[in-house]
Amino acid sequence: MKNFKKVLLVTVVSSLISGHALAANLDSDSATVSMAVSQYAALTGLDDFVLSTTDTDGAAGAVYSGTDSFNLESNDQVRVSLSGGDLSNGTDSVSTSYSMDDGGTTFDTAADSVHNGTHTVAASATLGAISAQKAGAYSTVITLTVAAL
Amino acid sequence: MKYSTFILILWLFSTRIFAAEFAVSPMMIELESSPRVIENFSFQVFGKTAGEVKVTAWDMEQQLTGHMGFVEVNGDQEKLSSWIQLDNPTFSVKKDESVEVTGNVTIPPWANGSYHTAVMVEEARAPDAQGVVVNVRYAVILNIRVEGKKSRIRSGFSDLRLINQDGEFYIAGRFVNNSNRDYRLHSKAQVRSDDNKLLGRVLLKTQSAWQRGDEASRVFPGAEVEVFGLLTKPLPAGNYQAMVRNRFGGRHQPTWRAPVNVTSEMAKGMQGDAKSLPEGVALLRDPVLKVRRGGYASTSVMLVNNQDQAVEIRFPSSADQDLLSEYRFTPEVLKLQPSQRGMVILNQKYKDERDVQPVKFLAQVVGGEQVEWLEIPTQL
Repeated sequence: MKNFKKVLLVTVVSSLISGHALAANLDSDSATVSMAVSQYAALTGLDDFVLSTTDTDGAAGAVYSGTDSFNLESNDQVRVSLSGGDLSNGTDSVSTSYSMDDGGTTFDTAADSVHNGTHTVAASATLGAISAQKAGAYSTVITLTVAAL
Repeated sequence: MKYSTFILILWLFSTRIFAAEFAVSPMMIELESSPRVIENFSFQVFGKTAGEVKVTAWDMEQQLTGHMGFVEVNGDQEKLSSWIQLDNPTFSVKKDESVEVTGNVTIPPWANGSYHTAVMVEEARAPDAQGVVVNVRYAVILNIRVEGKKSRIRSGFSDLRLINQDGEFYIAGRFVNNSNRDYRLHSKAQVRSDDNKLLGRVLLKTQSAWQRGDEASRVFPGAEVEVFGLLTKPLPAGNYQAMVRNRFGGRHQPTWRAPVNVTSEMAKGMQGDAKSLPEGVALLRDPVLKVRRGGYASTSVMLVNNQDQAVEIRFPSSADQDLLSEYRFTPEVLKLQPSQRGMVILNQKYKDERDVQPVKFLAQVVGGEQVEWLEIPTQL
């Protein structure tokens, strides 16, 4: 009788386990796999550049210009804005204007889109009167800011 | 070649400085928080080339145009920039390796509303070069909404007027967000005759929203922005009523009215440009190019959807143009609801600035399963 009870207990436990395993085999379940991709941006290929002129070097009104290009890659809309001051030698300054692509200092990539394209930065400086700026090296810093807003 | 010229060329190339290059992700971090809480944040800086990196917090101020301006921190304790602690403000990054920038924000007990700041990532570099030294900054925008007592959405509107810019007439006005959170502004103007007859509707947006192709203008707490839209219907000389209805954060705001005067000279200008609108999607007028030095040219392209279904207008981005070295429509895709007007900006550069001629483009108009082509001729 004692053995019978043991056998019965083992049978009940094993049937519960096997039944559960069978149910697990028969049931189906689903899982939603998701991921979020962060906004990414890279501006590459842009280096310092030097302005040169086709006018008479140093003459009043001579226009010095220079450009460089860069690649902008992003996986969502970004805005690139350019800011910069006049070229200066520390004492004198030369009126300087900047543009990107078309003459503006800001551009946006297309909304809800990835972007991978080449753009240009241009600078143009015009000399004042001959005595308004000393001969020599002039420099300035321009800043391109890449932002998601 | 003269010896001096050779030396000059050698100097130019030898002094060319190559800046370190990075990529940054994510560009936007949005957090929901509460007063007296310390929030951690992080982002990755990936080295396209090796270099030294500097990370600093900047304040953000919205400009009249709707663009965000970045200004150096002035210690104002009410601004998010002063609540930020950066763990690694300067570091080195190797080529093809990433560095995680970490920091935290301590929310003051009195904070309530939306707050923004920019964590600027740039190369740490001594400004010792000649010519134009280029500095590239990535603005990682930190946008925190602090839970607190909800305040009513409050706004103001002023200076509603008709303006003439380069021969085109715009309805414009100033909108102020007096709330403590940023919301999206949907603004529409109506022009009515003395006997209250509706003569024209104009969608008003900030310059930033027009450029980005956004449906609405995002206005940040305390900011004042200029919204404007092109008046496409010609009006005879006389006095009119302009009325602006604003929906801000989904809530209707008070209606604003102002008298508008169209002089005989203005009326003549409007009539001169006007032409009857054909069926389907059409140009409101032929875009007139403004050509600048260097062969750069730009224009605004105004379109209207006269169909009874929404359309998507896809502008060309890589088709061959013999005269142009490059061109770009911004946005590249414009969605227009029935009767809606929209604007895109066309920028182009001529290969030879001495050979500047009008150019035609073809845009794809997609409505449901139907695809048509729209010719966009430009004028000088």
